Amino acid sequence: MPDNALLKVEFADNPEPRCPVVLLLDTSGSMAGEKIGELNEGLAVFEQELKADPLAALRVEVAIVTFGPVRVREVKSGVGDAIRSDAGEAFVAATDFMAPNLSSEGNTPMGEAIRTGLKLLRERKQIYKQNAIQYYRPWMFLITDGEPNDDWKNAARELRAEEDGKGVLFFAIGVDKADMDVLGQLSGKRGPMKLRGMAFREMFQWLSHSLAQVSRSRVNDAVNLPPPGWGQIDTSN
Amino acid sequence: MILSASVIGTSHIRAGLPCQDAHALAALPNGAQLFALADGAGSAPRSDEGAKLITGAAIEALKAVLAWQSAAQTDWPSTFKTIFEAALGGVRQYAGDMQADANAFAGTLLCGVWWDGGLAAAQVGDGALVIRAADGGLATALAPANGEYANETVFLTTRNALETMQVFTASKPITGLCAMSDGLTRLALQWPARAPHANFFEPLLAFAASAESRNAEIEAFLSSPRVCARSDDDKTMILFAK
Repeated sequence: MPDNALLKVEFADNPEPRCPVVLLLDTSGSMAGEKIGELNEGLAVFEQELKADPLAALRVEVAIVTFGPVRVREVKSGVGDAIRSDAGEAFVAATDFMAPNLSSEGNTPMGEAIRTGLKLLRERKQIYKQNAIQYYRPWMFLITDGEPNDDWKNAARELRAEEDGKGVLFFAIGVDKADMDVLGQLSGKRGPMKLRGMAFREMFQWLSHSLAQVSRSRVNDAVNLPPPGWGQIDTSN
Repeated sequence: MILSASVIGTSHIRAGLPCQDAHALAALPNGAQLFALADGAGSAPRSDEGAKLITGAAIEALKAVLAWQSAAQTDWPSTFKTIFEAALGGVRQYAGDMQADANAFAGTLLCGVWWDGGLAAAQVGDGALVIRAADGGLATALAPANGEYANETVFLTTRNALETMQVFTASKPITGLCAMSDGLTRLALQWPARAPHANFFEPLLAFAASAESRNAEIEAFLSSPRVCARSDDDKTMILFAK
């Protein structure tokens, strides 16, 4: 057989499976100053790290919801304008993700943000199904320095139902004076984590590396996430 | 001619992991070909050993069955259940001897037998088996599961794994087959139907039909940049063509 016989082999053209992630970011007034600056730098690191992994860059899709007030953010240009809550527009592949520059305002409607994130994920899955795109279990990553000032208990119930149906992996991260007690009551699966100081950069590195691992994993195969060097599991509640 | 290779994926090289795929073959005096492949779970610390154990045990169990009955006369659904139980038993026994948890050796299993008049194969997991009939038509005999999430995988050591076992039998001549691990399925099958991509299989089966073809060429192909650019996982291929 000539050496080049296997060069004739062509590959099936399947769309890459997608791993959607929603970042729920607290941008309330208490985040003003150093914290929002570090958060923005962390998002820029997140963008760089995701794009540095060619496979993850194709498979991971990012949407950002800020609170308060609750806004879905445009993440294609780096401007980060508020856009309507629509899963077709809210998510971009990591290759096209441009970290927004966020500013702080308002209070902390965490419950509404969680419900918005869950809605976006449900809609995104519908889009995948309609287009025969395979997908991984979505991630939702909440970062806050405060306590919710809206009806977070109903949102927690909705979140737990979604978790029980294996619909989402939820992580809550407390910064500075965050109410870790409330954060501990959101997820039914996983305790909140406390960010060490202002280690946003390390946290977003961890998140991008973890998503990169998930985006090449199998669902029933446990993913060995890298150890979080940026915080600790809060076991006090 | 039967060709086969298991090669390490670039992501495993980067992460310092071993190749967690393994395969095993055996030919019977009557010309029947036995084949088995296993893909070890990425998270299981000793799944490279597990994949070798599983394929070895499956081939031994197939040989034991075919030592006293013909493949064409075998009741394959119940026989494969016995074979998969034997492979799982082999893993558990080895884990017990090593005082380790059987889950440390987790892996999938796809195995079967080809003979002149037909084929029987089964799998637990996310590999695939594509066959070519005498008329040249390609078909997916065993497909990776199509659950809600991408790559939903059951391993042999997963609870109730055997309930998910798929069995395929053909009682007509099969002129070619290609068994592959999960690292190749997205290059070889068209989703969502998981139908064979003819331009993938036809050149490969033509290659396997040539007496001069060698395993090393399949290894080089599976490790080539154009394959690795599409899949950085470990890859196993067993190719057979008449």
